[in-house]
This record gives sequence, C-alpha cells and structure tokens, in this order.
Amino acid sequence: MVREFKCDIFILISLPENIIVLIYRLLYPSDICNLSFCCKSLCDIVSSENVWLDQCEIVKALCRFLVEVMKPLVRVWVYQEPKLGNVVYLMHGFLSDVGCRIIPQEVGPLAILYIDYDPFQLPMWDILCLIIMWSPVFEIICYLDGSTKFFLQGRDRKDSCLYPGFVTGIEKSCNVLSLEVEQRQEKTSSEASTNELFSKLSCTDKKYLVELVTNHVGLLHVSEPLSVKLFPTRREDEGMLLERRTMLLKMHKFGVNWKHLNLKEEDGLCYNPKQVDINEMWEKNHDAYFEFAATNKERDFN
Amino acid sequence: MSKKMIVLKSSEGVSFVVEEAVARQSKIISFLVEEFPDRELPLTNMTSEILRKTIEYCKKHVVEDDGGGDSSSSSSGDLKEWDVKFVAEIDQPRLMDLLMAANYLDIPSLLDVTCQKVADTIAACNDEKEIRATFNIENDFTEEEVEAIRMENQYPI
Repeated sequence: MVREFKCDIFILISLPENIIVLIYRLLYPSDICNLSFCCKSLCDIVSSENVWLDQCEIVKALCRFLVEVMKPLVRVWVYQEPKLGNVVYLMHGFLSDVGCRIIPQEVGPLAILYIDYDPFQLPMWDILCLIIMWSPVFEIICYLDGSTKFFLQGRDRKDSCLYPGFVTGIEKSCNVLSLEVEQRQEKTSSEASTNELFSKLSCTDKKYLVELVTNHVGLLHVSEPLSVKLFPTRREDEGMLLERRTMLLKMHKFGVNWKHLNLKEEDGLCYNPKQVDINEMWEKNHDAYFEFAATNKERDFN
Repeated sequence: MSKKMIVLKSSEGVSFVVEEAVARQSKIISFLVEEFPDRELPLTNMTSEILRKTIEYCKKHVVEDDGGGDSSSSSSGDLKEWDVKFVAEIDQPRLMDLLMAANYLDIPSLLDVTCQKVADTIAACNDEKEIRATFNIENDFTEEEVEAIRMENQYPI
C-alpha cells in the first residue's frame, strides 16, 4: 500500500517519471539547467533523453524556419537599377529574417579623410556607418511552432507603420519576391479567384490595390522597443529584443487592440487582417480610384 | 429522476458521497463504477483532505460542462480563472499530493493544471539556489561537481 504521498524533501524526485516529463515539457531549457544544478537525483533526471526530446520540438521548429525560410531568402535581392537603391539585403535578425534596403550613398571626402587620417581613432563601426545606410523593408518572424509572421515596414505620412501579412510559397530555388494582395475568404465562386485577378492587373492597378489594402491594415507604432533595434549585437540586448518580438507577435495576432491582450488567450479575439473586405473598399474608394485611373492610359481593369 | 450516487472512501476511512457524473471525470473511477456497481470504492492512498480537494475540482468542472451551451465561452474563461485560483490557494506539499492524486485517478485536466503550477513555480526561480529553497531540496554536490556540470551545460550564445 502506497499510503502517504506526502514527503517534504525531494518532492520533485519522488514524482513518477510520466509527471516529471509533463512538468519539464512546460519549462524552458534554462529552467531545466537550473534544476540539474539542484541535486544529484535531479541532475540524473535531467540527463535522461526523454526530457530533452520534448525540448527538441522547439529546436525543430527553429530548424524548419532556418531551412524553409532563411536558406532560400537570405541573400541580396536586386530590382532593375541597383545603383538607384533597389537592393534589398536579407539577413538574420532576432529569431527572424530582416529585409533591408541599402540606401546608396555618395562616399564623401569626409569618410575618406577619416579612414586616411587615423583609422585607430575611429571605431570601425563608425566608418561603416558613414558608408552604408540602410532601412528595414520587411521582417519575417519565426513563431514557436515554426510558422512565420510577416511584417512590412513603412510610413504613413509622418509616422512609422507596420503592415502585418503572410509569407507563402517559398520555394528552394525562388528568385522573385513579390508583394501581393490576396483575398483569403472565399465567399462566392466569382470572388474566389481574386488572387489570379491580382496577377492580371496592370502595374499601376497593382500598386494602387496594395496601397489601398496597406492603408487599411497598417498599425502605427510609436513605442520604443519596436523601433530601436533589429539585430542583436550584445548579450544584454536579449531582453529588449524579446520584448519587441512579443509585441510584434501580439500585433500580428490582435491588430490595433494588441496592447490589452495576452498571447496565451486563444479565444476568438484574434484580429484578422484577412477580414479586410476588398469589395467594400473598392466601393468606398470607387470615385477616388477612377479619378486616379483616368490619369493612366494603360488601365485595363473593369 | 434522482441522480446516481457513488461512495468514495479515503485512507482514513471517511466516506464521501458524490454524484456519479462528478466521480466519472476520473477515468479510473469511471472504470471501477462499471466493473463494481453499487459498491463503496476505497481509495487507500488518498487522504480525506486531498480527496475533498479532488472532489471539489471535479464538482466545479462537471457543473460547467453540464451548464454549457449558450454561455459556454464565458464560462470556460471563468473556469480557467477558477482553476488558477484553485491551485494558487494550495500550499506546496498539498499541491504535490493533488498532482499525484490526479495522476492516480487519471483526471487529465486536473493533472494539467497542477503540473502547470509546479512548472510556473520552477520557472519563477532565478537560479538553483532559489529552486532548492522553494522545494526544500538538499544540495549534495561538491563545488567541483557543480562546476563540471556548469561547463557541460553552458548555454551557447
């Protein structure tokens, strides 16, 4: 008879293995490491494979992101005239991929003067800053389950703006990046082909539609951690970058109401960028659109 | 129609009369009820205190399950809140007992709630010293041994 469950010492060790595995599944690797330092028996439990196999799920998700998203995308992307600044360089961010537009700079005499003058006086980083300027264009964030969240970075009049979206169809040998508007809700059969419709639009119409939709889904951001750092350079940055990441994930999930909600709340409160009704927007902006379109000879939209 | 009642007996010999639907949330009791109908079920490794707590949890959850329908979404939120409060009020040794009881009686939702509480308690500790203090664990490592493990587990950055 296993009478008493009660035992004050080594409570954690006396638990059956299935419970220990259940508890460890809810912990982060750093917590598990802390546990292993507590005493010999806990150290033995921590070194068992079962504990780490569960932790591997997170690593697996990260690997999936590395292989499926980072590998095909991380490189330099060029559009028509690279000299004019149509160069986007994709690089690793903090659990994310960041696309940066490289802004062409005239290397002024000042920079050269500095380099010639005394390179040891000026840290290398400062010299690089003088020559290369960039601004983020978009960011693809890796979620815990390996799925991706997309943000287009931009400006709405004077303020910085973020536009949540989706990344789809990344192939291993892809060589074109395109920003498209896609209707996700299939209401009737006639509307179901909106995506094809988009590719049929003329360049100007595409541009206009993208503008229309981005104006609708854009989220203003003014708070600090969102605009400060994109890339970890020191270990101390980790906290701030984590905060930024959580903010972005919340924004992606809940839209404008993100501040008051918690990521763990799975209940139907999710904001859905899909819900933007393009037809409604067309109607609303109808007059404006035709005014706009009338100035374009190449219009072929009905 | 009167509801069918089941008698559960704790290790101290105290009998608890509960509705069948309440008790059936435990897969083990559900099985026992079918195998031995109309019999008192002795739970020799559960104290009255823990059995009372377990029944309290099952009662709350069975009511919400029945009363669902129109207000199910709000009640599920309330239920979560209730669960959090329920485990927050229990002290640590009793929480462990409840965890074991949930495991023994096979009540998955109670097991989840209690495991989460233990995990939260561990995660709230900043280092091994805090964990030792919280869970009353004796350090049986020598300095050198700790250093050796630390080297082995160094977090890559």
